Amino acid sequence: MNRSSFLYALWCLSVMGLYLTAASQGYSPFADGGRTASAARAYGPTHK
Amino acid sequence: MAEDDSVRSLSCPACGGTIALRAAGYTVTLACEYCGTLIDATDPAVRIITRYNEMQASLAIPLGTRGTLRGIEWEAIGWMERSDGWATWEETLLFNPYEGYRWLIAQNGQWSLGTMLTAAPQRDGPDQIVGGRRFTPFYGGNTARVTRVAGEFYWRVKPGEEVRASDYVRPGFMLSLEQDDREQGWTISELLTGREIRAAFDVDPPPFWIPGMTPLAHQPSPYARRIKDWWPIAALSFVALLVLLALFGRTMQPQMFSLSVTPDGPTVSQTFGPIALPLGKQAMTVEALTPSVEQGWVDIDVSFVNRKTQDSYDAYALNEHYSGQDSDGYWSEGARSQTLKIASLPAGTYDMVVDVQAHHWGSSGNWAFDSSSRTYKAEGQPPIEVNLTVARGARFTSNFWLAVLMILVPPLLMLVLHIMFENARLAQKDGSPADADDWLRGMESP
Repeated sequence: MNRSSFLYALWCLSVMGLYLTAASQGYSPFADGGRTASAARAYGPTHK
Repeated sequence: MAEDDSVRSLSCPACGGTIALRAAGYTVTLACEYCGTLIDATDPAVRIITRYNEMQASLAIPLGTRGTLRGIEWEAIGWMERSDGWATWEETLLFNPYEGYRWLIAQNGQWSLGTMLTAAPQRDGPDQIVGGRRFTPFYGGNTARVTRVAGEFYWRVKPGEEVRASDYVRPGFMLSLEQDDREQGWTISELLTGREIRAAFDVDPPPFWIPGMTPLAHQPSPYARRIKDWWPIAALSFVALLVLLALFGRTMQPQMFSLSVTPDGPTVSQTFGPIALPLGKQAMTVEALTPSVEQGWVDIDVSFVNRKTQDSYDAYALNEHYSGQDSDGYWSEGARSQTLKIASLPAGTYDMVVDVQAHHWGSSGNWAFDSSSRTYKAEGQPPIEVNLTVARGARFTSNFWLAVLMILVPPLLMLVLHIMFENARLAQKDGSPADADDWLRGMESP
């Protein structure tokens, strides 16, 4: 394995490590709710 | 150390300098390395062919330098600079008494090793085939002119000498046809790696291509190999992420709660619990289902309140459903079910506080003025059932796709650079501009 492939494999391992950490902590930056939550609300049909 | 038998000394008739004739018996033309005068080496009187006093070349490989390239020791005996009007390159003639001649061709800091062919290539349409390798046309009908010259050569070379040149390429290789009115010759040149040329002649390594530079016609994309090397790693990582997604996305111990709310009625608040989270930090999944909502919406505020710390973790769902008829027929929109995923709740015992308010939209139903809110509200609407299913854990597919994107970013960046490289390389080519087929062809192995 050449150096660039090794570095890329290291990058992939880091990403998987981050994913694993987030999964074990039940974390997602895209969660619907959490410690603080706010949501813009709009009501009614949008049908034209 | 005894001098090689093939080396003979001459005195330059112009400046008197001693010149070494390294390929005695083969060399026809010799340039004085002191004054640049071109000498006829076949004439016993060492006749001057032409003077070229302006030549003051600072050669990357000084004449007389020996270097071992691919297991063969070569000596640099001649050097010339050539130009076709828009590009300039240098050619160093290498000599070995047993192997004959080779060319070292330098352009834009890149070095190629050229070997003269003893037989013409096989023609296949516009392509040429040498040893089973296909070369596609790149330049055609250029005129290459010698601009400066020094050292020894096996023909009478002088500045201003011109040949018609056509080049055919495949990644890493160039096949060149040079012809004049008397003869034609084919040369196949192979791009050398920086390590090879540095080890052989101790020259500067070739520059790494960055956007804005002009690559050689036969220079393989430095990014193609990375893309090819990286794809298996990316595919393996993708499979590993799929496994992690399956292992860490399960929900467990679901609990079901329900309440009902009247459209345009008061907000219903209810507390459910206890909900125990025993370990570390966990996500929660809440599925909110309102099967009977129609022409209206239901606001559902969910808060998980830690009994010990009173910390609150909030989420909001809007269930709504509308339908009707218009000139296109029946239409409907909205969703009666929402799934909420709440991130990173610390271990503890929680109450789930739910605030629900339902509203009706449209003109159906009975309307009455509500003096407290000073608005018209529908009366007589049936209550809406709200079913909540709470479970520990959540499968965040967004995390998965974010990780996939992060894994793909480096190969995609390499792909963009590869396309830019191929576009810059093929911009020099005769014919149509580069397209996707050319980008793929540039991925071929040398």
